[in-house]
Amino acid sequence: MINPANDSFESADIPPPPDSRPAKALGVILFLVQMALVAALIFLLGLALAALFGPVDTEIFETKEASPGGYMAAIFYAAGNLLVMIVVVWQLRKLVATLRAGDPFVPQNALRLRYIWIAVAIGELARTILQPFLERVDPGAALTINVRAHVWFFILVLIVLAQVFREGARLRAEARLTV
Amino acid sequence: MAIKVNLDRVLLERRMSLTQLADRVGITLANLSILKTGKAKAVRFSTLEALCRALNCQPSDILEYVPEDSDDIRDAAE
Repeated sequence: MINPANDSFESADIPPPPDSRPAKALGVILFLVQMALVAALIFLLGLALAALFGPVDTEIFETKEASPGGYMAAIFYAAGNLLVMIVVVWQLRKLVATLRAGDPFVPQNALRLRYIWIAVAIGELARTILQPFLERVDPGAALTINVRAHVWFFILVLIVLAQVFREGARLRAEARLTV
Repeated sequence: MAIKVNLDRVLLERRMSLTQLADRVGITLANLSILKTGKAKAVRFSTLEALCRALNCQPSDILEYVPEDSDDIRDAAE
C-alpha cells in the first residue's frame, strides 16, 4: 500500500531546486557570447556605414569579390549570420533562465526551441543560396551549391527536441493538477 | 469536466474541515483545494484510498459522473 504522504508527487509544493552551478555557468557564458555577438554586429554595421562615406578595405573579408558591391554584400551576409546567432543565443538564455528557476518544462520553451530551429534553418538556407555568389571568383564561372548535411541533421534534432519539450510541458501541466 | 467531485458535500456530512482532512490523509491543503474545486486532472488511487479511509466512505461518494450536456438535456425536458 502506498501512503499518499510518502507518495506525494505534489509538484506545486516541491520547492524549486537551488540555482545549480552548471545552469548558472551556462547563463553567464551565454550572456558573454551574446554581448560578443552584439559587439561584432555593431562593428559590422560601423564598417558598412564607413563604406558609404569613404574608401573601403576590401581585404578585411575573405570574399574573392573585391569590389565595393561585393564588400557590402559580404558585410550584410556576415551581419545576417550574426543576427541568426543572436536570436539563437537570446532564446537559449531565456531557456536557461527557466532552467535556473527550476521549471524548464513550460510551453514557452517548446516555442523557444521552435524559434531556434527556424532561425538556424533560415540562416542555413540563406547561406546555401548566397555563399556561392559571394565566393565566386569569375562572374562567368558555374555556381556550386554546398549543402551541409550535418547542419540539417542538427535542425532535425532541434525539431524533435521542440516536440519533446512540448509534450513535456503538457505532462508537467497535467502532473501539477494530479492529486 | 464530466467527473464531479463531491468532496465538500462529504466533508459537510462528516462535519470535517478541509484542513482536518489534509492533516489526516497527509495531502497538502493546496492539493485538496485543487480536488475540491474540480480543477484536478487526475486522482491517484492512493489518494482516493486515503480519502475514503479518512472519510469512511466509498469512491462513488466522492466522485460522480455527470454527462457534460446533462443540463441542456434537463432544460430541454422542462
